[in-house]
Amino acid sequence: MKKIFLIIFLITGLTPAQTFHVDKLMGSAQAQTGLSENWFDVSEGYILSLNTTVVVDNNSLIQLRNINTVFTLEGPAALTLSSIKRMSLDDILLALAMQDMINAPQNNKEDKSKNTAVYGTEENGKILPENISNGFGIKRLNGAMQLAANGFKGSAVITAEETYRKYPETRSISSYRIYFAKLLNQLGLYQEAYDEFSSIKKLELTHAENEEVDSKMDELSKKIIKK
Amino acid sequence: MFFSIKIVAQSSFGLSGYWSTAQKQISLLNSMENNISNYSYIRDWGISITYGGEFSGSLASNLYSLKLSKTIGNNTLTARYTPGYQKEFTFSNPTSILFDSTANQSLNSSFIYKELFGLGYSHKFSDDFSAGLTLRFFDQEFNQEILNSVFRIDTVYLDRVNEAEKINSWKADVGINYLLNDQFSISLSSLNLLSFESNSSKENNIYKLRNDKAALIGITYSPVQSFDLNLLYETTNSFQASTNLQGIFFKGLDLGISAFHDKYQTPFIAGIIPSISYFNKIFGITISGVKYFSNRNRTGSFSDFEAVGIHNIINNRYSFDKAVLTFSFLLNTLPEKEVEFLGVNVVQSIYPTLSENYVNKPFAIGKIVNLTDKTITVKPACRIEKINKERIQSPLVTIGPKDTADIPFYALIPDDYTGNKTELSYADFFVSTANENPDAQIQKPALVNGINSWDGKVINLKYFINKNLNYSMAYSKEVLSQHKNELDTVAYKLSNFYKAKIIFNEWIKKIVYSSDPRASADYVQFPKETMELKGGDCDDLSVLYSSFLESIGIQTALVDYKPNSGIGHVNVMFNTELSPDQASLITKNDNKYFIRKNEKGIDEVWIVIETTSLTDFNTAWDIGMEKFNNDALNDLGLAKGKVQIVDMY
Repeated sequence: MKKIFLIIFLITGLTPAQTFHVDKLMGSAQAQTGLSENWFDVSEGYILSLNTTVVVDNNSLIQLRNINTVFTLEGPAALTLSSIKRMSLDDILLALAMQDMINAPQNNKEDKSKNTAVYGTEENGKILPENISNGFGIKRLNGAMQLAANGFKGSAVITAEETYRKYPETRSISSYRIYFAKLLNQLGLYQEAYDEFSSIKKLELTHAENEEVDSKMDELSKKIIKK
Repeated sequence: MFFSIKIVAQSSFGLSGYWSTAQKQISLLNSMENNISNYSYIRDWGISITYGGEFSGSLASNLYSLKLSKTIGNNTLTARYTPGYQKEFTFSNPTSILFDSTANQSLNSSFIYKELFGLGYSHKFSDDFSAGLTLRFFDQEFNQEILNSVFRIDTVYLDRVNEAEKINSWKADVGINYLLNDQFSISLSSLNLLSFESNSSKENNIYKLRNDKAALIGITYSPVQSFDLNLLYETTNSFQASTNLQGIFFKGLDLGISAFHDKYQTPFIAGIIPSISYFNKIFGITISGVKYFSNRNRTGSFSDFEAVGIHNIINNRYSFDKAVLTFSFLLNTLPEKEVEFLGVNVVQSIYPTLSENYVNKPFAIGKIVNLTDKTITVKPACRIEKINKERIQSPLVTIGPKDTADIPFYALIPDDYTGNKTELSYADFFVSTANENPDAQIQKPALVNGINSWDGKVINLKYFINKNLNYSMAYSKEVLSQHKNELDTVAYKLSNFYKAKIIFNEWIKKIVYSSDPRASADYVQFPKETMELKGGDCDDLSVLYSSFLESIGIQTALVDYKPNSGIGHVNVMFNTELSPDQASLITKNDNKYFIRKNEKGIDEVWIVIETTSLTDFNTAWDIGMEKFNNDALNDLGLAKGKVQIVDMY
């Protein structure tokens, strides 16, 4: 088997640190490499490159290993393997700043006439094909939570931010939001955590969530003042 | 009969002495003899009339000179009429003719030297440097009485005949003036550089004004503002020194005194020229005198004259003391200058295609000073040679009394400008106040690039994109009309995506990748040129594709990948106008798009296309997104400023 791995590394040019070996698979999982449109079923023994996204179905589990890490992903979850990485506090701050930058609305432009073809097409009565996102955003957030559980908190926070942007419906799920806001607190990013809890406060929260958010905001206020 | 005499043409001498060229209106008093470069501060017209008398036993009064000067822009013209610049010598032949026992007669001769008029021209190249020339006309008359023997039968008659010869001559000299700094100025002129004269007989040749070539060097030192020391040195070893004091008792009243050493006169300091002058903005009155230190009331012999001769018509060893009154008038039909340039700094080269840049951002900053005691509003304007026919106005600037201000100059590039070569041009800068004519103007070099030149800032590629928008629109619509059936089956929300895909797949078939024709990263083709040339590099192809999409209302941005070293890269991002939850309509891979909020804060799906892939749309999309994900997102390029998204709409 070791010989097979070696041959694969030589062919692909990948080093062990740039790949994950599927050590164990319980249930089913699919993978998508890079920018490919195709998904394929994963089996034990597969070598997956870092640009692979793995989706683990309900009640399934996959154990991945590379030279540095053994990582277990439980379904339902989705994770791009490149996000299994430790980030310095500086990198986390930089990545969060980048998310803010991306999330900022573009500067106001002069009103530009839209393509008038809209009238023709709407009159033709065409409808959009079915939306096929199928809760993929939640699977992404589950993957991010497991990143945090495995100690990759910074990467988890950034993955969550990216998921909120690509899957806007996940932004309104308070439980996930509170979880990742707490992670920011744990990372010592008090101001960022406070801002996130302030944003969460605007969501529809349960009584318990409301209390928790208030409590966290109080706690963070004190920390920020002490700083 | 006569002996050989040396007459040296006249050199630096002025009836009002020598005045520092740093003293503005007063410099009008300087003569053509000591101001050969015709240096002058006159703004418009200057007239001076010099009248005086010579104390030669009895007072002989003369209109010495009438001088007219006119300044046009940086050029000054001067004309001078000098009826009083003449000297006559009469000699009696020592050989007497005895007619009878009681009477004898002598043969007489007379030499008359006149300077009739002069012309001057000066050009001011800068505030510090000017050059000019003078052209002067002389008239010399030589009258000699001789006896002609006439034989008639047996008698010899002696006929007394006057032989006259008139010689006209022109003399041309050139000179320069240079102000080194506030304290020192220098001048350098020729003496008798060129001479032209009518034919003359051999006999009188030796009596003519001689044209020995020499140089005149002038130095002015102004240790304080109201005090000048001047030295004019002729390389023939004559010189004069003068000092000027300005505004001693009240403003406008100036004193001057010049002392001159003439190697043909004694004592060493042959004389002085004290003068007092009052000048205001309109007129001036100057009283001056020439006082010689040697006795002038004596009878001279021809042999004495012959031994030394004269070297200057109005200043020679036979000249008498003089008193001179000069009226000067400064007729200014031009409005008073209220503002002056201190300098102009051209802060950016001109890239003609980036025309809007110069409307919003000045290409030059000028520093000007308000010369008045009141607050004034200044109208700046500029004109770039080879680009503008008319002056381009910049915004008005208000300046307090005696204050300085920085003023921006904006350029306007005409739409029809087609210069495709980079050339060093010149920009003329003007500032004017209430007057129509500019109060001040200055010229500076400016680099004007060709229309395909680009300053390397990706934001400015939008000017190239918009340049041929009509062409791009025609092309895009033609392509889309050929795919009408395909587009008719597509939902409206997906139309941007499919239109972009169809257009890409169509034009890419005709294009090959090629480097800039000038092997320069700063050369960008317009969309039409790229299609005609059937090739281009990353910026040319990105501009082309962006132009096609923008022309049909699809928003685009260029992604600027800044280089760590070497050449950067550009590719195109366009807005599908799909919402994030509609992204799955175009891809099953959420790494293949990028979410951006529009100006209303609504998330929209954008995708990146690598135009240089020169394959099909899907491959170009994959390559573009892969580079974007790696450089902009994974490596935090967006946060680090190494990757920038530049909107083109």
